[in-house]
Amino acid sequence: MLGNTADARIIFEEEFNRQIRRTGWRVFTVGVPLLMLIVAFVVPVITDTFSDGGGSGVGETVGFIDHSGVTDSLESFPGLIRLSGLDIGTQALVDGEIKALFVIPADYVAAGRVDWYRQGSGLASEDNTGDAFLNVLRIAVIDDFLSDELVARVISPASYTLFKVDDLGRPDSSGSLQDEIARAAPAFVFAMLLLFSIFVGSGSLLQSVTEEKENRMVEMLITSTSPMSIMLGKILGLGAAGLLQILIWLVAASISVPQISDQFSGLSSLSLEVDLIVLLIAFYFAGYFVFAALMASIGAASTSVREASQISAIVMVPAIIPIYTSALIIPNPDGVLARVLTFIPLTSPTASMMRIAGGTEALYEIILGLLVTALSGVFLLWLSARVFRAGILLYGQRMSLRSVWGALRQAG
Amino acid sequence: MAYALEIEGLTKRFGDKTVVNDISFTVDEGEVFGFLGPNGSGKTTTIRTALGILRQDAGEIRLLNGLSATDAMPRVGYLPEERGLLRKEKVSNILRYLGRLRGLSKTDALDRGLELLHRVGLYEHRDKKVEGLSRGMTQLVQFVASLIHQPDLIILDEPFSGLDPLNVQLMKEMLAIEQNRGATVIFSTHVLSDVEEMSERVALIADSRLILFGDLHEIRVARGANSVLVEATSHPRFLPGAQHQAGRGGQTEYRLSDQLTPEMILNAYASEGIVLSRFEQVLPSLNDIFIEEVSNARQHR
Repeated sequence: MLGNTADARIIFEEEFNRQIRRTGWRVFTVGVPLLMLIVAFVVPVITDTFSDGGGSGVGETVGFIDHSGVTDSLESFPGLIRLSGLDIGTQALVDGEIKALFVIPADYVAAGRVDWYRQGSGLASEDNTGDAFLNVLRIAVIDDFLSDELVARVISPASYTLFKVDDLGRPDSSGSLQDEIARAAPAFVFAMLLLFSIFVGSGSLLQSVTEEKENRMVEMLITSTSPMSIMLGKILGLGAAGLLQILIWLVAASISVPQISDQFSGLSSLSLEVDLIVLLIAFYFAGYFVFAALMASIGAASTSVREASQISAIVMVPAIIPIYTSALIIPNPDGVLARVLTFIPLTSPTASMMRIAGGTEALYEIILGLLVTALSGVFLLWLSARVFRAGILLYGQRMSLRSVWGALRQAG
Repeated sequence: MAYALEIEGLTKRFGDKTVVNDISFTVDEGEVFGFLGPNGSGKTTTIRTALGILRQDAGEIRLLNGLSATDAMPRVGYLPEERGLLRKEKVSNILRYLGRLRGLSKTDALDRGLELLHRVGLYEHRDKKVEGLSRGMTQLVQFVASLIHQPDLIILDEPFSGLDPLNVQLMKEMLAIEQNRGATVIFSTHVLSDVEEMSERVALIADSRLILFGDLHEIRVARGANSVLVEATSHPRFLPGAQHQAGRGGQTEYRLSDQLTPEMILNAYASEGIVLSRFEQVLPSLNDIFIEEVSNARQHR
């Protein structure tokens, strides 16, 4: 069924070596970690250099003028400068002494309106100075009536601890919302890695298969070994090169993610049970295999890389659908949509990953989905070998389902 | 009898079109066999089917003493008509790759590849990418690849097309070495002089059918002489029905017909008392046979 494994191993080695010798592969492999390291180490330095400094209260030095007296009870607030008049305030803004100027009118308590003066371009809605000043106002309004603890609760009412109650009514703590995000994150990471591997790997596969046809080397190959060995060697060889690339990136990420995660909350503590990690890894490989075999079939049936790329772009869409609909799958990981997508070979890998992210309780369905994916991969590998052999008859011909079918029958 | 290739009643159709029609011939072990035919006659399809690349609609194919194409393939070297190699790959890497696929170890494949590159004068180009080679050089590399595993049967589809005379000669010499080693060589061509030079036996295919097969000399003898070459100090002034052509050194060639037989020519010289130094019946050239047979086949279509 899997052809001559010794030949497949030779093709695996040759394809792997050929791929990692390519300039494109090397540039990409080094370029991505370099970008990660730049984001991790250089961007914070640049941000610090070009930022205006600022205190811990509102993040930047902000001036305010209060005509209402609501802030009179505030003795001092980090990063806030009380100013006496609009002229002085706008001049401080022009001089760069303050980042923003807020003017609280006399009727503020009744009207709830504040004037916000700022300089330069950029959307005010994207400037967090405004949100930070709203907190200052909240504290100012309630400060006279409530204790410091109550003021703190108004600003930050609570952080949830989640409990899952089983069918017997027994509660089991599953940590905080942050913990839940941390548990969902690995599944997302695997889904993204899979998508990335499919996108990058499929390009290499299409190129490899169509190149041999365009270069007319295919007849020499096909009289040296079986099409199945050729396809298996190619898929695994290019897959291994892709995996090596990802491993290099993961090493780079392990160095830079702690730095990056400081800037993005919730990423710092990724965690998941070992069995789910194993399942995700299995889905990653099965998912790559099914798409790679499909791409190999398309490459084998096409007469040029360009033609193959156009068709392959369409078949990659199913892999994206579960991620696109993750807003529906994750809150309801055992719903009808999630279940259906689990059993369709091309959507199963990412759909199952999204279900794992959503904390599905139907793990047997996920395992069944894995089986469906793996079997589909083997079928598509067999198909790609047949099409590859038949493809010799399609030299220079325009590809159509009819011509491919005809060639398949001719090749036997 | 040991056959390197046996084809029996081979028929191959593409849709409604019959490309190879009930062809049968055999190739003996150790011979250089010419597979002749005009362009589009079905030579390449016959070869591809014999190698198992295409599946026949009818007929039997056996290679290397009764083996199927799949079983015989490790002992077969093949140069396809469609030329080409991976353009971005180094010459030595490609030879190593193809050599390994034909059962050689990594080291042996590389050593043998380099040795053959030496022989065809391309050793200096071993580290060049294929895209940096001329078309002729690429063809030689592909030729080398077909010999790398010292195959018992070498099948070459139009091996000399596009090559300059020096490279054609080089290729012929290498094929002679392969034959001396014991390999069988089958090559397809429509260049008749190559066949006359290299082969003792031929098969001629035209319009999908086999129209001639056998020993080249026997075929020519069987067709009979179609002219007589006479060398003499002078020639008869009058010879009825003679179409003659004067050659060098007092040679004249008479085209034979029903009105002009060798006896009539001989009598004409004798009656005028001319002394002959040479009187020889000339067999038809392969070129004559090719044109005649292909034309006949097309007339009967």
